[in-house]
Amino acid sequence: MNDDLKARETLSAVLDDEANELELARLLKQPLAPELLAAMRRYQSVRTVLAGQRQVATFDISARVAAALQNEPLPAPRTSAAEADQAPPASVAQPKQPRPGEQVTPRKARWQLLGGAAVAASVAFAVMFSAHTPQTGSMEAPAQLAQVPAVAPVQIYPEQLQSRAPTGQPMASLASAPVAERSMDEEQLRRLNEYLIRHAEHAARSNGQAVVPFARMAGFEASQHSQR
Amino acid sequence: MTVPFTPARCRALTGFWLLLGVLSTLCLPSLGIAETSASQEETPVLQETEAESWLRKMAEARRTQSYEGIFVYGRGDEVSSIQIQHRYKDGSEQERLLHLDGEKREIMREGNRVFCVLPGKEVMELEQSLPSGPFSGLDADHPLPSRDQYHMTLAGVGRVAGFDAVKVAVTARDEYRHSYLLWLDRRTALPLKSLVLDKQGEVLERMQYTSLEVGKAIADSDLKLENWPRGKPLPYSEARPAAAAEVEEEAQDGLRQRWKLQWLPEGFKKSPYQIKRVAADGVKVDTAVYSDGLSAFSVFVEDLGSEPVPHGVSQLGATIAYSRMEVIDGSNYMITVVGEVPLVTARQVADSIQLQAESPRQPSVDAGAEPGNP
Repeated sequence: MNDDLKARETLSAVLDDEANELELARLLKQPLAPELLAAMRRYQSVRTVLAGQRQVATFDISARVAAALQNEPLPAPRTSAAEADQAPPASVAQPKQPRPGEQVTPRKARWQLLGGAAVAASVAFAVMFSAHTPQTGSMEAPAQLAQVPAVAPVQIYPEQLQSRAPTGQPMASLASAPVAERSMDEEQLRRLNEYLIRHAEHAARSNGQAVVPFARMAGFEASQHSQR
Repeated sequence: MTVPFTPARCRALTGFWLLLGVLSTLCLPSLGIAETSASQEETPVLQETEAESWLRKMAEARRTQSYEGIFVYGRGDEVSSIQIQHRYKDGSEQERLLHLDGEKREIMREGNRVFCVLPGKEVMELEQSLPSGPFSGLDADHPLPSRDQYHMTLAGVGRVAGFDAVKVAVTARDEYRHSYLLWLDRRTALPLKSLVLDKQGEVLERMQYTSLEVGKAIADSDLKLENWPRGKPLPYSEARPAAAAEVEEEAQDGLRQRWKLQWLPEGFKKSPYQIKRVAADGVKVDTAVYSDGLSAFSVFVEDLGSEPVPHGVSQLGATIAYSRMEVIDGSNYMITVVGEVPLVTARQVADSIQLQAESPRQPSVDAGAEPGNP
């Protein structure tokens, strides 16, 4: 029992990047009991949520996207461990209230696929999308976008996405924070997920991927009915 | 380099967060650590370098070795554990993958055929065969990415899942693709761990074995599907249904002739592989895949009529999706690039796509241009 507790502590430390070599060596010596594996998964999921919180706190993804658009390296390093520690575990259980300008935590969506395929994607994406009005072909104002049915929180980057830079040229400054979070509607999310799955299949087939094409499809879940 | 084959068994939880910490302090282009990089640079162009030799051996090993283990796959803030059993017997591969987290999902691969089994569901055969498991993209026919696009070098040694490993850095030479860091088993060259890194050296996606047993004799009974109903013949004992894979996508509708890429990053080629998944009624979508041998992206062009088209970008791990709209003859077209490439690539490709208006008076041209379309 004592050993078990020790092992759990070590597991937790490993996941928190705080284990030392001795602790690791001790952990590696013993076979992992099912209970320990279960514990590991719990720790992992907690860690995952905390990692999400960290992103929320630091606006990480949008900064990276903006930097990529600008073709420039990121000026600042990511969250320090100290900041990460400030994310209280208690907040894990609380539903997050998105605020304007805040990074959206990737979330799961589950949709039936096109064409009667008997799988549905469950793709957690950090989504940064906006919508065009079909009439004008230009970006809707955030206020108008609010009418879109709320399915998933979405970041909007009006300036950067509206003004398409000529190919090969870096965009104008994108450093500004998104002005609002809005939603992609169900249909748009479904379509995006369909694309993602099809790409995973294509890429695997066409000698594309060096790394785990199957695991990329790991988000698949059972749908309501089967193909045959 | 051939080492006598020794079965090894080890179960380990490696401190890969520690490794990541170390990694993040390294500048990517400098990954070629002193011990090997000097000799690599001077190697004549046509001679295989040591790093390339390892990559080639890896492609072979992951196909022809028999092994069993558990690997962890993570991207974005998702982490999942997957059990793999791989058997090479009489010149053919069999593989079973079982998700250990969440809902029980299994994938069974028998040669080129792939079956998904979901709990309480009928078995489903994927329409496109899907090489699965780590690093399956590099196969015996295409063992190496191009030197023009990637710098391949040994990057030291390490230890993963109890195995001594050789680290191979596959570093992108330009900004249009990601870089890879691979840990290969010293004995067998099996891939033990891999990272996909962006230009800044940030880890976008990771795969890592936590336990692995190589050379184990895997019995037929070990390769049984856990969720398969008793007494029912295994799926691959039945003949492949002719239907799905042979159906040409009806909905292309000449769309394929109407869009064109004006820009491709160097080294990317259109895959000869044709997408044949049947689209739903009334959906007009065409797709194509482009690959540089290691990284790939897909282009989707879809006619949405009067539907609103989202415009923007989303990212999960190494996978990015970028969409934009084009209006032709009052119809909204959504142009999307999805792939394991940097945003700049997805965006420039999508932005370079030119779309022509439909020409309904020349249907025969379109029909004739579709090989295999009866």
